[in-house]
Amino acid sequence: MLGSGALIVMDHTVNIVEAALRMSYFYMHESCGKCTPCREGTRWMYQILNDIQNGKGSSKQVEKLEDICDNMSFKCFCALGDAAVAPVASSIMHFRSDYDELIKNLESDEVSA
Amino acid sequence: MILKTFDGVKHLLIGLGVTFKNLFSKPVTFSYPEVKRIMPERYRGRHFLNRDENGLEKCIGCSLCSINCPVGCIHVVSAENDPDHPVSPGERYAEVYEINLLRCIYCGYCEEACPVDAVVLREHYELADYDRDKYLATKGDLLVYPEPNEFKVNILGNTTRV
Amino acid sequence: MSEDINITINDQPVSVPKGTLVVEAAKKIGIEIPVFCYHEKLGPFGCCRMCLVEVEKMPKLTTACTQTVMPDMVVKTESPKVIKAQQGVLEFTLLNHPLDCPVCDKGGECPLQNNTFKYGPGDTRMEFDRANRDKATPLSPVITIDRERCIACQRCTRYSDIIEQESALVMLNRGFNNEVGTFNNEPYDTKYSGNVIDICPVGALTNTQFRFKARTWDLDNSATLCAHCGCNCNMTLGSRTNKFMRIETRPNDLVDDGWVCDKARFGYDFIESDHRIVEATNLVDGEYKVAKTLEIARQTAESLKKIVDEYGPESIGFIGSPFGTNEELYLYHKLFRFTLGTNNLDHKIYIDTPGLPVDHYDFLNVETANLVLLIGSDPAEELPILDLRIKKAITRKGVKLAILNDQKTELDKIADLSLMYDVGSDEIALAALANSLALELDIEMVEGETSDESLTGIAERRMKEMAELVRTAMKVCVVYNPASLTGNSIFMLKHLLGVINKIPTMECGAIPAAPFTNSLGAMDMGILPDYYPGGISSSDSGKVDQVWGDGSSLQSKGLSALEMIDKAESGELKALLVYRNNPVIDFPDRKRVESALKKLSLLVVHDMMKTETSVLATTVLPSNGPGYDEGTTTNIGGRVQYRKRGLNTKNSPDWKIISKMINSLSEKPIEYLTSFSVTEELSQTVPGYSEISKKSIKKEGKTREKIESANGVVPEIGKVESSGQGLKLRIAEQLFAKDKILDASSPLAHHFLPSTLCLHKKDALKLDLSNGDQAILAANGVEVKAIVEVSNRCNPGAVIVPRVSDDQGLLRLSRSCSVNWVEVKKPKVE
Ligand code: SF4
Ligand code: SF4
Ligand code: SF4
Ligand code: SF4
Ligand code: FES
Repeated sequence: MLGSGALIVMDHTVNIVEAALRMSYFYMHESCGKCTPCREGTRWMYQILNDIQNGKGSSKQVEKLEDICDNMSFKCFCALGDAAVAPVASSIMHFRSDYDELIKNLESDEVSA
Repeated sequence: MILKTFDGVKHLLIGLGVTFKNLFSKPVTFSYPEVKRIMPERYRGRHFLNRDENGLEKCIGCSLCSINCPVGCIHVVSAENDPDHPVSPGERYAEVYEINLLRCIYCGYCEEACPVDAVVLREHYELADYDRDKYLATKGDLLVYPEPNEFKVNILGNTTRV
Repeated sequence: MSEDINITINDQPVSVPKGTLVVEAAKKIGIEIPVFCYHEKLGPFGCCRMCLVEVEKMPKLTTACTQTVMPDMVVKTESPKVIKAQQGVLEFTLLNHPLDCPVCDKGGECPLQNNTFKYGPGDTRMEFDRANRDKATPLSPVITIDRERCIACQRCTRYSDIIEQESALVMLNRGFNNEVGTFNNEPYDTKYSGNVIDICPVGALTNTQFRFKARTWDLDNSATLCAHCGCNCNMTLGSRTNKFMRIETRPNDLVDDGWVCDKARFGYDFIESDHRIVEATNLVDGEYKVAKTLEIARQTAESLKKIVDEYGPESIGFIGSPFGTNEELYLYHKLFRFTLGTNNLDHKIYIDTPGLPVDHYDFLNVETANLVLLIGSDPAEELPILDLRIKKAITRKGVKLAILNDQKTELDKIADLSLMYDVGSDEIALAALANSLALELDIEMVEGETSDESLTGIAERRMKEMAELVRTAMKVCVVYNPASLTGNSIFMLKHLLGVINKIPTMECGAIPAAPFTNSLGAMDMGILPDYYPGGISSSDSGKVDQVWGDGSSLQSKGLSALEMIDKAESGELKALLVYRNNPVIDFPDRKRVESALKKLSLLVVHDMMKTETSVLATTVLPSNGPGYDEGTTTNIGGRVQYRKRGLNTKNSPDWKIISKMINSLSEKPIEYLTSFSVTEELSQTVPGYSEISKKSIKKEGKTREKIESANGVVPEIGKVESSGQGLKLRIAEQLFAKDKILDASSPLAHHFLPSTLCLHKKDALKLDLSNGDQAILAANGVEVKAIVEVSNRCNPGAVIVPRVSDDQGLLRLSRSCSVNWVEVKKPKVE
C-alpha cells in the first residue's frame, strides 16, 4: 500500500524510488508544520530520497530512512505524518532492490574511480 | 688491615669517580635566566586567547571557562557583536576577559571547557613579578598579538601590553 | 474529593482529580515527563511530541500533555518504546536547530538543552546543512527573535491568543516554513509581551536589553516584587556585579498567575538613572550642601521638633506615598503621630477610608466568583496583571463581567453588561444601583432622586439590568478604583457593597483597586489624617489608647494632603515632610502648590528621584526605592509580601533614616537591626497584621486579616456641582506614561502617547472639532495642548484626557478631587 489508504497501481517501468520521492515531496509540502516529527521528518526523508535518487545515497541512508519512518509513525499529531511514512516504508520493504541498485551504481562508481 | 685500607680507598675512588665523571660531563641544569628551557608544547603555563584565521578573536564570550574554573579566577563580561565590525565570529564576544593569574592553579580546565579553543595554556612559564596588579591579565595581555594565531613557532615574547 | 482517579505511573500509584493531565499527575509523584509545548497556564496543545508515554491497552504511544487520566490507567514513561520515541523526537527537534548553545542566551536554563541532555540521542545523524533562517530580528523594541532557534512549539502564539487575548503573535506560513511573527510585520508590543521571553523553551525570543549581556548562571537572582502597580507581581531581579541585568517572572498563582507586565520587565531603567537622589543635601544660603544622610536626618528631626515646640504640632505635616513599603510608612506614622504629635498625615488626593463592609477579596476570588463588578476601574492601564486575571476569569472560567464606569475600557469587549455614567455622576450612579437593589430587599434606601437618566446618563432600565445581574449572582467580586471616584463617592460605594452583602445567600467581596504599589499598605499603616494603623479611627480614643498605650490618642483632627497645601498657603503650616510623592505634579493646581511649598520654612523631601518638588526642598533625603530597598508591601488583594533587595547600595535604607529621626527625639530609642525588626513590631501593633512575620510571608506572602469598616449610616448624596463652563474633565491613567519612572530613554518609550483628548461625537460637533485636530484644554488660566480623538470614550459633556506624561501637567487644570471643568478650544490661528 502506498499513500493514505489508497491503492496505486504502477507498472514495472516505474522507478519506485522516484515515485517515493515524488510522494514524499507531496507530504513535505502538505505538512502543516504543527508537530515536530512531521514537519522535520518529511523534509529529512525527502532530502535523503533526493540524494539516493540522484545517485548520492548509501545503504546506511536507507537504513536511516527506515529508522526515521519508525520514529515518525504513530507519533505525529495527525494522520498525515503516518501517511507520509507509508510510501517510503513500504517502498523500502518491498522494493529494497531498487534502492540497492541506485546505491550500487554509486558504490561501483566509487570503486572504479 | 692493609687489605681493609685498600678496600676503603677503592670505594672512595669509585665514589669520586662518579663525581669526576659528572664534573666533566654536560650539566643537566640550565643557567637560567641566560638559558631558557623549552617546555613541551602541552605544558600548562600562562594563558593565551587565540585568534581565528581571519584575525578575529576566537573567544565568543560564553563564560564556560569561567564557570568551569575551580578557583573562579576568570571574569568574562560579554556583549553583542556589531555585525559590521565583529570582534569575534559569533553573535557574542567577550567585552572584558580577565584572568587572575595569582589565583589560577594552572589546571587547564578552562582550556578543556572552551567550545571554540579560544583560551589555551601554553609553554610560557616566566610569571614572576614584583607587582600584584600585573597578575590581572586582561584581554590585551592574553590575546595572541597582533598576528593571527602564529604562536606555535615561538610564543615567548609574543605578547606585549597594547 | 470523591472524583479522584487512581492511576499507576511507572508502578507508582497516584490519585488525582478527574480531568488532570498525565503530565501533571506524574509531576505530583516526582516523575518527570519531558515537555516543550505544554505549559501549565496554556493548557494542552500536543505539537512537540516530546511527552510521548506508553499507556497500557493503547495501541500507540500517547502524549502525556493532552491525555487526561482515566480510571486504572497504567502509564510507563521509561519503557524502551518510550525511550526510542523520545530520542527520535529530540532528533527531529534538533535537526535544524543551530546548536550554538555557547552563544545562545538561553544556554544554561534551556529546556531543549536539558531534555536533550537527559533524553536525547548521543549524536546527530543529520547529513545535510541545517536550514538557515533569520537571526536577530526585532519583534518590538524590546523583544528580539532568532528564528533559527525556534522549535515551533507555539507557546508564544498561544500565550498571545489565550492569555493576553490579543492574538498579536501568530504562526505565519505552513509546514517547514512556518515562523512566529505578527500580522503585517507590525511590532509586537502589547502590554504583556515580555512574558513570551520567559515561556519560550529555547533562545528564540530574547530580551533585547539583556541579549548577550551575561550568562544566566552568572546572575545573582533575587526574589523580589514589582513596585509599579498595586498587583505586586512576583518577579526575579537578576544582577551581575551589582549591575541590573533583567527581570523575569516568579510565578505565584495567588498574585500574578505567573506573568508580569512589560512595565515590570522593561521599566526598571530608573534603577540606574542619573536623576536619582543619592546624597542627602541641605539648603544653606541658597546652596545645597551635601552631608552625611543620618546626620541630616537627625538635624531634620530636630528642626521639626523646634517648629512643633514653637508653633504647635498642627504646624507640621507629612505627605507620604502609596509607593513606600509598610515598614517605612509605619515608621513615619510613628514619627509624626507619637514623636511629633500631629495627625497631619496623608498620602493621596482622593478620599478613601480603610476597611470594607464586605470580605476583602484577593486575585483568586476573581476566578471563583460568579460575577465581577468593575467600578470606575480600567485594569488594562492601571493594573495590567489584574486585567489578565479578569480576562482569564471571563473567558475561561465562565465568570460574568459587569462594568460601571465613566469611560470606555478594553474590557467592555468581553463584558456582559457595561454601563457608562456621566463623568462626575459616580455618586448618583452608585446610589441608583444600591437603591434598585435595596428596593427589592426592602431596606433603607439612599434619599433623593437617583433613577433619572438625566442625572447619570444611564437609563433606569439599564440600571435595573445591572441590579438583576448582581442579584442573581451567587458570588460577586467588586473591583473598584477609589482614585477614580470623585468627592465623597467612596462612601456611597461602601454603602453599595453593604447592600449587595445583604442579598440573601450572597457572597460578596471587594478589591479596592487603586493603581499604586502599596496604597492599601499606606492606609493600613495609618498614613491618613483620620485613621490610625489598622483602620482605627482617630476619634475612637479608647481603641487608640488600648493599642498604642495611654495618651496616644491625639485630640486634633488631622489635615488631608490637600488641606495641608491650603494651610501652607495660608501660612499656618510651617513644615512639611514629603516622602516619595511629587505634589507639584500630582496635586491639582501646580502654581498654587508651588507657591504654598515655597512659603514653608522647612520642606523636607525624602525621595528616590529628583522631582519638581525636590527642587523646592530645603532638605533632601535620599530614598533607595525599588531594587535597593526591602520591606513588605500589601497588594490590592490584601496580600502582604516581601520585596527583597536586588542590588546593593551604600546609602542607608529608608527605615534606618526614619528610625534615626525618631530616635534622635525620643528618650527611649529603639534600634532596629533589619527591616524585619520593623515588620515584627508592626505585626504586634497594627490590627490585621498579627500573622505577618518573616517566616509566614516568605514563600508566597500572606493575606492580612480583613479590616472592618465602620458602617451603618446611609450616606447622603452630596451636592452636585452642575455648574461650570465647558466640559467635565476626567483624567485617565496610562500605564506607559512618561514620568520619573519611565523617562525618554526608557526602552518602553515607543509606547508613549502624544497628549490626547477624547471627546464624544456630540461635543465634537458642537465644538467643531474632528479627529486629529489640535485643540487646547483651558482651565485655571492654564492651557494644555492636545490632539482630538472623537471616540465616544465618555458620555457627552465630558472630556477624557489620558495622563501621558509629567510634562503635560494635566493636574494643573483641576482644582480639587471632585468634578473639574475645562474648556476645550481651537487653537488661535496666528
Ligand atoms: S587553568 Fe584552571 S585555575 Fe587557571 S584559569 Fe583555567 S580553569 Fe581556572
Ligand atoms: S575563552 Fe572559550 S570558554 Fe572562555 S568565554 Fe571565551 S569562548 Fe567561552
Ligand atoms: S535554545 Fe537552548 S539548545 Fe538552542 S542554542 Fe540556545 S541554549 Fe542551545
Ligand atoms: S519562538 Fe519560542 S515559544 Fe515561540 S514557537 Fe518558537 S520556540 Fe516556541
Ligand atoms: S509537551 Fe506534549 S506534545 Fe508538546
